[in-house]
Amino acid sequence: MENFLLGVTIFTDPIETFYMVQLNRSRKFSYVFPTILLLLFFGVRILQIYCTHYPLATVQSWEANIVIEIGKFVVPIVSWIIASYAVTSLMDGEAMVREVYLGSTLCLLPYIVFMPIIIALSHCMSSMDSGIYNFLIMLVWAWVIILMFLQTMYLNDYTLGKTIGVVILSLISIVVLWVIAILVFSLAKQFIDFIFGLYREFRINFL
Amino acid sequence: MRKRICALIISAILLLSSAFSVGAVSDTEYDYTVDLSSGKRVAISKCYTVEEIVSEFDGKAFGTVSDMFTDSDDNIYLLCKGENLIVKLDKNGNFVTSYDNKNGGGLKSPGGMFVDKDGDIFVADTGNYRIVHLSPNGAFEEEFTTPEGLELDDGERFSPSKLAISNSGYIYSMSYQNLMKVDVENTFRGYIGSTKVSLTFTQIIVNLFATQAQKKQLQKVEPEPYTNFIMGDDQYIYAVTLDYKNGQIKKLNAVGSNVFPVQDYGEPYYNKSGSSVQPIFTDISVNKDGVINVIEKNSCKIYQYDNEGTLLCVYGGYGTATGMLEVPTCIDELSDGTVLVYDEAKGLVFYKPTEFITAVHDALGYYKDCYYIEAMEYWQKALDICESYTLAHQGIGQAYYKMKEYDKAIEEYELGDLKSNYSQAFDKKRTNWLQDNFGWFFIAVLVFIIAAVYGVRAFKKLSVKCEYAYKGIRTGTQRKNRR
Repeated sequence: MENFLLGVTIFTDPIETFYMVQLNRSRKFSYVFPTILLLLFFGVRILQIYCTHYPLATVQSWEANIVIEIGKFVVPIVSWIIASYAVTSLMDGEAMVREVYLGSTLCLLPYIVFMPIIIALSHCMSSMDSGIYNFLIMLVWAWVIILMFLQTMYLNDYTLGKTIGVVILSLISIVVLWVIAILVFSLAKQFIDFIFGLYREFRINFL
Repeated sequence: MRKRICALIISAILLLSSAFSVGAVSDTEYDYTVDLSSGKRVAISKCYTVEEIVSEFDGKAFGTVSDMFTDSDDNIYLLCKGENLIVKLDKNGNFVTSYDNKNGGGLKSPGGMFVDKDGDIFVADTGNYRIVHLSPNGAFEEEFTTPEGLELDDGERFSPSKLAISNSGYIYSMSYQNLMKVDVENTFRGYIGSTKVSLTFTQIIVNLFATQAQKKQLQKVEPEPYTNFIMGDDQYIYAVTLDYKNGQIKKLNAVGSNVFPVQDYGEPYYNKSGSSVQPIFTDISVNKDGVINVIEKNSCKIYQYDNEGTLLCVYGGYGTATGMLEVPTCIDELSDGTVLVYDEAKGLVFYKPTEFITAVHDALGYYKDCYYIEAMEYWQKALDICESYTLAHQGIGQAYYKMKEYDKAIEEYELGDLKSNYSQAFDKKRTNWLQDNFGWFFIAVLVFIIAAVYGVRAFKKLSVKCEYAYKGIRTGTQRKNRR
């Protein structure tokens, strides 16, 4: 449960934090904290939809769709964790999947902490100030993306050049992952339909 | 005994179910409008109710009616194309008289008509290639044949199908789906409001290389056709066209340029095979406040717009029920706001405005002249009937804004979903607040900065402590040196 302490150090010393994730790997690992972070991340998104000042809101609360929001926010993160682990383990990386999970969710902390502040600030802004508002959000996202990059680099002991290559490969493999998932889904559906059709033919003709 | 209980239960169920079917909202109990920002339909209170349908005059059916006109005294004229008759009804639909222009050579499938302030009747006598002028009692006065100076293609003849006459005496008519202007001397004064013909890339290439003979074989590129037009009380020409690029509804001024907003009017219609069809407007009416009603041919719906092109409501729709239409062809409006629709299958349908839409129209009457505060009372009345009408919230917001009550304006603008005006009102409110509380604001900013500086420092210290604690737990020792 000492993972909680990493939530503080990630803000001041992210590189040291990623070393600390891999400190003494024989010790028991807790999945509680990263899962809480992932849920908080989605919770902050919901807060953003419901509480952003009306003229600055891009999605109005009454037209929001929870499935689409999960697809936009949680699914990319989870796909990133899977794809990043898959690619790094092929490219002689050192991270284990649980470490990538913890590391990646730690990277979401700037969003979790600073978005509520920006949402609160938005209540002093009108659509004339949308430039400032969008800039602040961009800053937060930039922070998150830089942390993700550092995470890939230091969890696997990569050089800068190799990290860039691995990140690009991971992004491509996310796309491939989804293409395959959709393909498997549609093939499975076809197969099930076929079995059902066969069963129906049997029942009509022989029973 | 058991039988009795059964009977009781069954009758109770029957009673309940009948009560529910009365309570359920059927298709005809509300109209709708389309939300601007999301493009979704929003149900609103019924806007028009049908209490009267006149399907015959003098014991005869109207048949095909090509045009309808209401004069300033609310007499209704119907131009029966099949019967070659002009039928005059009073405002309740009672038969007054009919004109057939016997002494002037009759009429042959006439397409349009106009009655001026003195009661003189002008008919576009399409089948006889002329415009006929009748006196108020129906006697033949004069005729206008092919205007002087009008150039026509081979095999084409001047065949006016719709017409209107301006206060200045010009005759506007529609021939081959183009609008033209003719003066009292019957001299051609040019086409008006024709849309610019733009060439596609292939057409330009073809024009470069094709010979004269080849070009003649090709289909001529023509401007988007007009389907109907009328002359408003404000002397603007209101026309409906098939011009989907520049707005199907046009308001043309004296020089023929469009002053109505360019946007998509109506909604795409989905036919039985599921493909979408562009809306086709066949007739248009305008009242003194500039409220426009147009008939959409595919869906048999009537779309009502205000003078700025905002959709107010949609009513009618295909069906045999009382408020619905089957083959609507002509539309016009009486001075009391009753909308008249001629439906070939039903007859002359009188759409009486409900209290709700009357309140909206009253409010718009003030609103368009910028009397926002006076309009507020009527918007409020409309909202009392139908709370979800966003336009009313916008109107009330505008009134509050003018009264400098920005808090209330903000609230109404949010309900009316008007982001730009919301921001405007919010900026005013913020400026006022800052002017009143600048001292507090200054102190708050100072406190925030100091707190942030000390907070960051404290956080850094905490972070170092966390790091040692983590490493201690992780490695099972309490070492104080960093790795």
